Amino acid sequence: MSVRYDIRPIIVLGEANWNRSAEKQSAFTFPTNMKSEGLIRNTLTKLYQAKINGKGNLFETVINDCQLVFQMSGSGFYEVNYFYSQEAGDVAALISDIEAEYKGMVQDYIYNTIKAKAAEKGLVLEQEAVQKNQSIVLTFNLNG
Amino acid sequence: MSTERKLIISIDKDGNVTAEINGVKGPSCKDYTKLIEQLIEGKIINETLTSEYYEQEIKTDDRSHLSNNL
Repeated sequence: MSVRYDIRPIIVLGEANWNRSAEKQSAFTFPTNMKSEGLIRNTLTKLYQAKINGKGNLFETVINDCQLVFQMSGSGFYEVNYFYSQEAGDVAALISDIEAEYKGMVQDYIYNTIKAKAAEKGLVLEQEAVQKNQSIVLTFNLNG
Repeated sequence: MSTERKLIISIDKDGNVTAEINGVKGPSCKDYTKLIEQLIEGKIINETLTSEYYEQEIKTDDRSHLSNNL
């Protein structure tokens, strides 16, 4: 190995892009590490077949009788707002499940992006493997 | 005999990515930096050089050129 890079794909990288039109309306908030609206929507649909209202920096859904409002924060990640303190435990469990599924979607997204871009550039995929730690390893031959 | 040049990309379950260039000696391995960023659509946050980076690549063309001059 001659050089090794650690890279944060833009899909997981935080950045300040808060939209001022999205104003706080609720009493309680959970921060998350989720930044892609599309992948959050896919996650909610996959896990709960949830109906989602709104779009962009502010959208909401109801899961197991908990109303969850996803709002873009100043850090560039969504936070989840909810309205009743007694729901805190349920909301924490829901968000934990959502984030776990979301991470898998992020991994799939990055995997598909790399494979598509590599194909565009004519790189030859020599090997593809899933490790015990669930990492996906792609080996491309650069000899052309 | 030329060395196999390989790009090995690992995507962990949280979406973090590491990329390694193998089989390229010397600073020319950094020629692939742009390619890696384009493939991954991300920002490089850390770069680790290895001993192979400090080795000098022997070019086959240079050798044949020398032979022709003998």
